[in-house]
Amino acid sequence: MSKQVIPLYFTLFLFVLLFVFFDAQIDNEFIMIGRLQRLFALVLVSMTIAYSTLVFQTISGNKILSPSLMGYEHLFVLLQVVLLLLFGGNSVLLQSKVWSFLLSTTVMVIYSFVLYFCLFRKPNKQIYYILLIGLILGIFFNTSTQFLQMTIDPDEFAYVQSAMFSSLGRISIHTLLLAFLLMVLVFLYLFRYFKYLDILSLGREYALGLGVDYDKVVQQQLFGISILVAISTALIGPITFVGIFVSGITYRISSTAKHRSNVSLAIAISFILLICAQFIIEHILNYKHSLSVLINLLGGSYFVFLILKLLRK
Amino acid sequence: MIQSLRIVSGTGYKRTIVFALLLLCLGLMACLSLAVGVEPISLKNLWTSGAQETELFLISRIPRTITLILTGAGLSISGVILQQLSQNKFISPTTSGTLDSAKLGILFGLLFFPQAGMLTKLICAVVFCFMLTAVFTVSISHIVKRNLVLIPVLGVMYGYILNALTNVVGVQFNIIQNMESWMVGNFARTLKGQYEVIYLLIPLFIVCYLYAHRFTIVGLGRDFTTNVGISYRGVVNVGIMLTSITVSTTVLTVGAIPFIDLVIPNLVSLLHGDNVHKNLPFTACYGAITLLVCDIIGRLIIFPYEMPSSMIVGSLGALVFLLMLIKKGR
Amino acid sequence: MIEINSLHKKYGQRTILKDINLKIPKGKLVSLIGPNGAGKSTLLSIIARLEKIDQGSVKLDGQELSHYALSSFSTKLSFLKQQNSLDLKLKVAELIAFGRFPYSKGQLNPRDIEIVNEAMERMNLSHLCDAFIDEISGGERQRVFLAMIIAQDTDYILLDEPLNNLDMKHAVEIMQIATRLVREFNKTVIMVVHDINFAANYSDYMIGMKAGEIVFMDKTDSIMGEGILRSLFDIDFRIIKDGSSLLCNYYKI
Repeated sequence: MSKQVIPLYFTLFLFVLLFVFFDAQIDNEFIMIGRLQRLFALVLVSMTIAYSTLVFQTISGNKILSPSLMGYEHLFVLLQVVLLLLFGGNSVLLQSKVWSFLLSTTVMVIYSFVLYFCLFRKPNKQIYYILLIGLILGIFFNTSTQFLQMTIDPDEFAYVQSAMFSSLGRISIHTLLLAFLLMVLVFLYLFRYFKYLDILSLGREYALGLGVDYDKVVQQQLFGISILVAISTALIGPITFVGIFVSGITYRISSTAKHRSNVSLAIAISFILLICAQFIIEHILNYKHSLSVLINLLGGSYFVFLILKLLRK
Repeated sequence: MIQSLRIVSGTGYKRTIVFALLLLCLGLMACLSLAVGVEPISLKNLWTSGAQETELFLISRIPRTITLILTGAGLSISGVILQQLSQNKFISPTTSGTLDSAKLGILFGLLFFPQAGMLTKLICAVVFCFMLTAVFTVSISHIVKRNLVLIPVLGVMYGYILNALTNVVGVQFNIIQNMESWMVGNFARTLKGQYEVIYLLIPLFIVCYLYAHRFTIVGLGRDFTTNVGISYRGVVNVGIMLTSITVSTTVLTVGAIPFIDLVIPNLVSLLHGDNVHKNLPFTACYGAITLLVCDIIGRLIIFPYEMPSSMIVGSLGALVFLLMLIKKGR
Repeated sequence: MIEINSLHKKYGQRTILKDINLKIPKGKLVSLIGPNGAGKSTLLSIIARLEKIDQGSVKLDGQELSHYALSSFSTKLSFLKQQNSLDLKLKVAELIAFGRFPYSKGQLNPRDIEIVNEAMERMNLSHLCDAFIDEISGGERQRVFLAMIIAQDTDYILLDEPLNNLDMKHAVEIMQIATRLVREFNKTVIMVVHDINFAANYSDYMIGMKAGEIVFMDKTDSIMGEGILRSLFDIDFRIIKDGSSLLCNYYKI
């Protein structure tokens, strides 16, 4: 662990304390449990963001991309609209947090499988194509949503609008446990291949030359990533650009290309970012905006900054 | 490139025949578009003056058909121009944030000049379009020129951000509802008295045609352009300006129509090669015909209700483009 | 020993390799020469298992290529590709240490570290060991990758145009290292070289390829004839001998 990292973890610790105990009535069980739930959700989400983005960037060999770009957010909103139209606002699929979480995750995982494994025979070679297709599908989902919106009763529309911006309002202990379980399974599955991650960054030829079955490892990683992204989107909603921001900061601070240290660094950074944003929303903005709006604006402006930086080169 | 041109574009008179056929097709579709609607229209009654049908015809059907033709042609042409400027077949207003910057511009127009008319909104939209598209097209495409697919990926991401920004500002100031009509392209709103801005596209077509040779040359690269004594910057600026005005005008009159600007130029380039000057009329015709057909489908598919044509164009266009991508990727 | 029997390779409709039959002896420096598009890089890629075999067989030390497990293959044969640009915050020493991955699977033992250090010294890179690979010059980066291959310590080393973009001094250095790998460590080095003079002065054997076929394969001395070279490259050559070295002049005849 290098020197710059220690203050980072210290800050992280401070923020956690602040988040949990700021202006708190310790004896009010409801508030405290709510805070701990949100904290736990943020931990889960920052882990998925950090791992999926960093590894996806390694596979694609490009540091301004993120796997959550591929139309998930629009698919997510479209799914909510379709459910609303099919079953009405009182359906168990929309009202029960667990069911809606399970359904969204399943649909998004299926969607990523189709994108990653059905269109092309070798997904790793066509990663840009897959991204572009995902993005185009995103536009398509968006248009469809807007069309369907016009046929929705305005009262019910409020539900869809809340789905458009991610928030922590939808989580419950059960969804958190489910998400946690899924994540543990994914990480257990991927655990054996952690040591290959550094080799992947050398590219296909060298990885093969060094005895790593590149195609297989990449497919396994993409498999894991797609589930992780689905989990985080289903948990707190669309978080498109956060990954890019997090990885950008990570690579700026980090002095190594080793995945082990970079992923843990990225987890810490995204956790700090999310916790700050949530804190600001709760105590300063009084819930006027939602989490995703805040962090996506930040991530989006960082992306524009990257483009402008490229321009100056 | 020159070689493929000669092969694909065929001899002079052949092109003329193809073009004549296209015009014929366009005329047919235009007539069909005039005829289709909730109220049936018969030719005989049309000329009896004062009839309700004549009224309907003048107020709704004719403006709608004209708007369709001009929009289809205009968007396809702006697609070609952006393709040439960025030297990338997959770049168009849909994939470089132009549509989204127009929306953002209109939003700011609504915000700062709530009482102002069409023209102010148009100017707002054009200014935003020009600046935001220029930042993207000029910068990115010259840095990662080699990568055909990465640039549109970045472009769509860029559009996402602009869209998100529009959403946030719209929600904050409670004007998202007013915005909805510009989010989805719909020709049902084109009525007499509201659609006339679209005529602005006609002089733009002429300018495009005059500049077409230069766009072809710019498509060969900066060094090449400078070498033949043309100001690269100048042509790029003109091109982006033309695109911005076209896109802003169409978004303002009918709303955002995605993908047509992406698919039509690719099809034309496949069928007729890459000479912008020669192909511009073809591109315009194909674009107009496509949009007319999509609009007619939209009017018939859930008759007597209407489906916005942007939905039809969006779904079909996305599908065609995805097929292109998959084929190219394999 | 690498044995290739009636090997065919096609990309779509285009035939890249046509009925290749070769025996490449062990412990020699072998150069692949020939005009652009002759199929040299493809042949190298097939031997390195980066491309699939359409038809025919390739045997490495008497065993079919496909019969090797990937991890054991990577301790037997290594491949350095043409372009090596990586936008990575990797230190030189870390990259070279990747060469030990087939043995250590990421956990370096003292022996591995020793080998890495040796490779670094041999390539004259010790002073750069803490530099990042995106900050050093192109020639240095080429040497770093070569050092990684050396650390991988395989019997067979394939190099695809290792002299590309190197100045004369560094090109000579690379060729000298290749020669030493063969002479001192009994490695087999097979390389694609575009500069006929480097090939002629350093290699033991030469393989000439044209349009997907082997035109000749023999000891360098017996090939260095003006007629043979003319038939391969379709231009005139004059061979000038000067004691220990020889020069193929084709610049101006």
